Amino acid sequence: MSYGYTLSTLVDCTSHLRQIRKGDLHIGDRIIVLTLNSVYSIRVEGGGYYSVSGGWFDRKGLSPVKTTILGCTWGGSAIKHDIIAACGLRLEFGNRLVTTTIRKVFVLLNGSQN
Amino acid sequence: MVVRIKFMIGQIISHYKILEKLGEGGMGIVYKARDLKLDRLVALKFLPANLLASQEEIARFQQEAKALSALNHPHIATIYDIDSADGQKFIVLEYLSGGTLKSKIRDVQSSGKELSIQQIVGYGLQIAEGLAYAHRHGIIHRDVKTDNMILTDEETVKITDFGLAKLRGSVQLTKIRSTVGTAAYMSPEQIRGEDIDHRSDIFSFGIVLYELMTGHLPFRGEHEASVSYSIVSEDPIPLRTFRPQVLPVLEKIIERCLEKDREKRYQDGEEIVRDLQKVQQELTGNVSTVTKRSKVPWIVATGAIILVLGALYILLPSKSGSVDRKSIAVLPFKNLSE
Repeated sequence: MSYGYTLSTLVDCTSHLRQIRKGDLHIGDRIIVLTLNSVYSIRVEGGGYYSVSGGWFDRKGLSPVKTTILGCTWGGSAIKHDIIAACGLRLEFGNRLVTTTIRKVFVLLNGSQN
Repeated sequence: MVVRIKFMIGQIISHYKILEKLGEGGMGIVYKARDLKLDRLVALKFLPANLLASQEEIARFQQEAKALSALNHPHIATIYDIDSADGQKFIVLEYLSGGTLKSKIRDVQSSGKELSIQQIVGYGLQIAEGLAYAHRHGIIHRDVKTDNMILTDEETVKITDFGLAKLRGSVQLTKIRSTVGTAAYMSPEQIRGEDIDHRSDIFSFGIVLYELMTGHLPFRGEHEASVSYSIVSEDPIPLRTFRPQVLPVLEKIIERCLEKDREKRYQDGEEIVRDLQKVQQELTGNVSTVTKRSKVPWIVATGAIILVLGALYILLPSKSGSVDRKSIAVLPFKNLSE
């Protein structure tokens, strides 16, 4: 095997990501994530938990489900764990569900939803 | 397929000259090629026609490839290009020359030798620096193992994520991951399915360092489940079982990486880098400190001291005699008896 992606390359590309960082969100904030196949709605619950509905969770009749978010992957093992979503990456939930590639992300701050 | 490969080698596709086949799988065939415009080696991945049967799938592939390409640093692009020739689409990837660290260990072992401490510390330092860099930017690798380390011709270790290359070109589906990582290199918390952090990579790094030192894995079993049990419940096989003469300081670094409780491990890669740098400094700058810790040179040194002391003991009386010797003065005298 003589081709692939180096870890340092992945690090270098993070500065160019359009990303939503976990630390920038507060309880009640909502994130809408559009992937290639689905739409997910994520509400910040606090304590590292999120209420998630849409996409796979809807198809399985589980919405809304309270879960953690591990971060976003490039499709391999490496994960950026300090973000909720980033365009071009795949979201990985605490139940190990990995979405298809994220196309768009919208953030609705807690005060701006009414 | 054989006919096609024979046909491909030596051919110029777009502005790439196909040099050799690198690999083949369900996701396509990969060739080593030379970019004739930029005169650099690249890897070309041709995707099977059945994976791109519909226009929608082609569009998806292009969107995904472009997204990944756009994410990369302009100067360190890993997907250089997306191109097509004879109706076949292919992606142009970064080419990494050299074998894996795993194959290096195997080669050294099969020749009846072992990696030198300098080599191990050098490789370890590079890997630790790479991981520390990733961790600083919020990235956890989750599959640190010698199979994921490419050793270039310049002896530079590159940590890769081959999982990524395997997925390129596949039709995307939302899916539940069964496990991430490779059983023999997983941390206890990873095996238990807990949420992991960067310290999981530090555990796996400890296994890599152990493997570099001994050529063996610290936790073994006949099957995956027994290896996993061993990692969660048992102590690693003592390093000295496989390599009796080991620097105690290096042994301590590995032991600390392999702590089951992540709170007791190194808390970040920087700390490992510092400790490995100290070992490297001892090895290169202050040889006497290192040799003192090795058993054989210590015995030789002790023997030498004993010899010197013995020689001194023999020589000492004659030397000191020149100080205490009783002298006889022959003076002019008279015979008084007469």
